[in-house]
Amino acid sequence: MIFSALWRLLLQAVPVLFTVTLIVFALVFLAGDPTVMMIPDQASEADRLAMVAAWGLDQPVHLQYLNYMRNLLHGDFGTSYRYGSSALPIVLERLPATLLLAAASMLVAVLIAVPAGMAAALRRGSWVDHAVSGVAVLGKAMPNFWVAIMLILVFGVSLRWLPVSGSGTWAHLVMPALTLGTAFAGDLAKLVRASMLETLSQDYMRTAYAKGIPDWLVIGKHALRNAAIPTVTMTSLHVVALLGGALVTETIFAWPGLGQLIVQAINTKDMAVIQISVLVITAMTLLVNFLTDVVYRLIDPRMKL
Amino acid sequence: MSGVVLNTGTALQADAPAVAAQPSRLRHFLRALWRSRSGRFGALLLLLILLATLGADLLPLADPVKRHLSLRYLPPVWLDKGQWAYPLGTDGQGRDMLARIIYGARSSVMVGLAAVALSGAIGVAIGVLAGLRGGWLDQVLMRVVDAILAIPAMLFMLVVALVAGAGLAPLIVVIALTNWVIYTRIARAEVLRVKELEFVAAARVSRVRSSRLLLRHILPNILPALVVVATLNIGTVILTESSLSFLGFGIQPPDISWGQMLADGRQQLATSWWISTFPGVALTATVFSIILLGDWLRDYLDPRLP
Amino acid sequence: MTAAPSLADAANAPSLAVLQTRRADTVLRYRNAGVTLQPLDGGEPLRLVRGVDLEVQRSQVVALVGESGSGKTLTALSVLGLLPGNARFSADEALLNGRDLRQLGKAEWRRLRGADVGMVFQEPLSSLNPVLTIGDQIEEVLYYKRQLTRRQRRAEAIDLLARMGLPRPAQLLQDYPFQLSGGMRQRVMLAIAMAGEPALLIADEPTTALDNTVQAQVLELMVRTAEQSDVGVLLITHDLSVVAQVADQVHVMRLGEMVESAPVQQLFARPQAAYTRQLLALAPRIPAVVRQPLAEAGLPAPQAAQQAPAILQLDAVSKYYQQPRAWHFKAHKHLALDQVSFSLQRGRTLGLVGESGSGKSSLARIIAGLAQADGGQLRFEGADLSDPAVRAGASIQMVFQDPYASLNPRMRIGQLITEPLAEQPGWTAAQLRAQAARLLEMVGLPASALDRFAHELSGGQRQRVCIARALSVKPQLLVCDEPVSALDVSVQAEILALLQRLKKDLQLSMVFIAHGLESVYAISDDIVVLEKGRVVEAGPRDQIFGAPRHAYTRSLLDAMLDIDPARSRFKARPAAPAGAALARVA
Repeated sequence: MIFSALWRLLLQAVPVLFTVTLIVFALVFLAGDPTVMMIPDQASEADRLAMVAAWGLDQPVHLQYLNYMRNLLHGDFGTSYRYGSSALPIVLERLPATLLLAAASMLVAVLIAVPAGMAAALRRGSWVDHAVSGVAVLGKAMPNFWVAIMLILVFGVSLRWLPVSGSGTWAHLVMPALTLGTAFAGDLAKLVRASMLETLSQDYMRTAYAKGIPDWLVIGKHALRNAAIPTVTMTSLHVVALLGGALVTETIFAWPGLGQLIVQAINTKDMAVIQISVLVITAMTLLVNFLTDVVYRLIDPRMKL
Repeated sequence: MSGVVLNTGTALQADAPAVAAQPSRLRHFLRALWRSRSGRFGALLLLLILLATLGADLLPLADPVKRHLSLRYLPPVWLDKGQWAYPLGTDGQGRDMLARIIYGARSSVMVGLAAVALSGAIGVAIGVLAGLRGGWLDQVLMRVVDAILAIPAMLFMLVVALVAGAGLAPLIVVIALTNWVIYTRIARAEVLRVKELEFVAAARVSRVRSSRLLLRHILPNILPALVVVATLNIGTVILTESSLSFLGFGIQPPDISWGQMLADGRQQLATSWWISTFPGVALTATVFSIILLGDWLRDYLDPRLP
Repeated sequence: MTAAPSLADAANAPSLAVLQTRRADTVLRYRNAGVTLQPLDGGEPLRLVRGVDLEVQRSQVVALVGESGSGKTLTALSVLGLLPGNARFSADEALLNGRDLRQLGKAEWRRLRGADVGMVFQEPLSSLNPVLTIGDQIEEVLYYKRQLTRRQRRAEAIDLLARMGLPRPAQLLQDYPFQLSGGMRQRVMLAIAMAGEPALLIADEPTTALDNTVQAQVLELMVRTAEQSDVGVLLITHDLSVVAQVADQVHVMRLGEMVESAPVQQLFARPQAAYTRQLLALAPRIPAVVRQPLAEAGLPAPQAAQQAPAILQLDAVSKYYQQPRAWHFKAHKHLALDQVSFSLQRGRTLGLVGESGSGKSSLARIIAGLAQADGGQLRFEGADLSDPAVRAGASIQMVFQDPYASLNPRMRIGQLITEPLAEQPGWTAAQLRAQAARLLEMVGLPASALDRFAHELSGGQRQRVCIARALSVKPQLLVCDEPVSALDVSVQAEILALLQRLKKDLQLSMVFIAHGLESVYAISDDIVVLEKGRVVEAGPRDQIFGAPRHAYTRSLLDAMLDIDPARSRFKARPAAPAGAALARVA
């Protein structure tokens, strides 16, 4: 079972990564000449041309692409224009911070959304249901950078309970995680509610009740395992969004993760860093898809084909 | 008694000999919208916002771009030192917040509609093509879609923004280039579903032409799902635009955007909190109403079966 | 006979009075029971069921008969307390195994379900939890209702499954529902229902979703279980032949009211209510004379082959189906049709009979041109149908099974009916509309239906529209793929009558597909029997019914349930009183 999942991963990963490198390269190429930003003002045109030649930027595009791909496959991931050193270590160094933030956000989201969604589904039409739905929509409607700023305003500036930027202590993680987590929680709660409602209306739930087994067993075992299936699928899709949402959040809170690095790199047109970051994040996404696939197969026996 | 939901609905329709009439579709739609509490609220709020946007010129507002260096950082009217002429206060350049918020709505609405229209047209066309043709074309297109979906949207858009530059038109293009994949996915899924429905088979037996099959049978039946997605997508796009403008990549001054206003107020959070707060409220309210409407629309269009 | 009181009983510590009534013979008693629904969006409460009087004894099978909307399912659910949240149950008397159902609290209901009453539902696939093993689903009941230990549970589960006639029960415990066939699943449902040792078993249309051959087996199992375990059975069904075979007492329900109640033989011999008589008249039946072997009845030998040319001829037609798999995995090829050959003469109707998995739907699609055969040849009036020119000229139309799905919900009836016609040149909008009106009249629908949408019509009306649409281009061959399976019994009869009339008036040649022999009796001239993609027998109708040669055909015939209660194969019944014949067929 694991092998087929791995095989599927490989088959998906290769064309996707390939296409991504193509897209990224195309964009980078179109973005224009980065040397203009890099050289000091007083340097002459000759100096700039020398720099262009040194970076290989004067070659025709298909050759540049081939160089790029060749370098990639040899493990040479390009040199950061800004830092002057190899791009990959820079990117990888920042990765753990972003992963920590992502994990914390997911935890926040799940802890809020799953009980809320289930409560809403079990008490359909009651005030609990309406409240959960309303708050979920609110959570989705609020721009995450605004939530970040409001949190800073309340907890950082007015109440002074939490630090507003940087990292180092658990306290630093709270607000960024809340920001990202609440954005996701809204969607997740709605999904949990919807998939619970769908499950509860199934015939086998009627059978479960007809058996006279305890309610907690009916909901906890019969309903939950079936309702979890679409939930797991959507969660994996949201991880992608989470990684992207981290960009703005990390910038606001000066959280030293990959997102902040990327925004800086975009501002300085640091191509190597941008390219590698995109590839790394894409690889992470594919990995998450793979894990989801495995979990899916564990939950749903019909998939064990 | 239990949480079980039974659908006794269909079971109760005995075979009626007479054929009953139905009210016009528009009236049915409006009545259902009015009856739903969330749908009604969402629709009314959205209507209010749209009216304010379109009729901004007719309202007695202060000039949103005029700077009054002497009136900088004026607090909202209910606070100390506030003035009625500037009900929501002024920003760092002395510009009226209320006017800026109302005029800022225009950017959001325009970008929202334009980007959704553009990406929707592209995405649906590609999705329908992939769904109908199948085969290798389908596989290739889906790989491309997968690749774009694997890159976080924000990231992709920032990189594209590098190329496209800043400004309104580039912004729409940037958003559309990432956004079309959503429509492709769902259009293709819907086409695949509708293709297998019995009435399509019936039409094929009747030797209906492919063009007519597409126009009369397939497209009208994938439309509901697409409409729902598009409605909710407008909300998402508005949020995206504000994020990009917040980071400095979207709408540039002197054009007004809520995201931009939020960024402006970041440094003065401790002293002039209203500069960042009110644009966010406006954003939230707008997207909130769109989502309510979109969710209601989904419920309305979905169980359309008797 | 019943076992000693189980641990569950002891734990409940009932009073003496209740213990006494529990041993009594009456398992269920309803007097003037009713169900009222309070609509969610306000408005008048709907009285869905009223005035129901019902009694079930141990070892007795009581049938509740009615069409959809009769309230029979609601009545059954009320015994379990599983009515929807906004429904209210009321009764002068409602006793189950001695307990008053009107006063129960949530915990008491939970104790009662499974232990005093068990239920079997209609759709065995969707009624079993797809992600839990069979063993898990049975042992739950054994634990919570009978407090058995793990070892006891496993042994008891295996025993239950074996008693239900399932092979390799130990292996089955680890299987999942989707791995079992429909008949096996229903046996599992029965095992689950009986696991708690209830006094009453409720079965809601337990065999409707099953093939005929399997149906007989499951019914026999139910009857045997009822006798051996001394439980009362409340059977909900719309199928009168099932009632005739297994029921002892029959209650007929219509629109929420009980129309007639009588012992089974009395009901069939001397029905009192008009509705009962109508139901009996409409139930499909095979005249008894045909069931006797040909020679005995003295019928002439099968007729010589017709001189008229065959309008449709199939020669060794085959079709493969591939399990859809990602391209890198080996595809599993599966033979849906295997060398199918038969011919149909002009003006005659061919009844194509096959159970699920026989390939009959694939065949229909191939004939109608929706799919291609992988082997063999189809000829239409002698010309090869794989030739596009021939296919374009061949006028073959189709009526599908599901009237709800075969009409585009966004088009009006008038447009739907004339859509095939609109493809032909030379029709103006006005002419099309006039033709649509004529077609509506031909199928017995009012002209006001022209501007309606499909969802405004009932199932039977929709099927008439589908027939009108198929006939709009005056086809030479009409393929009907189970056109009445999805409809109520009374509506089925109307549609079949319509098809027979049209067949005669328009001189249609028809291929009529069904899954049971009784469905094709009324309408077919010739019959072809399909089993797993192969033709096992073909011939004129009376020959197939009177002198079947192949074992499968015989099993299909055997599976047909006789609607005469005196001839029940499951229950020993006294012979019908002398002189009293089965109620006359109209």
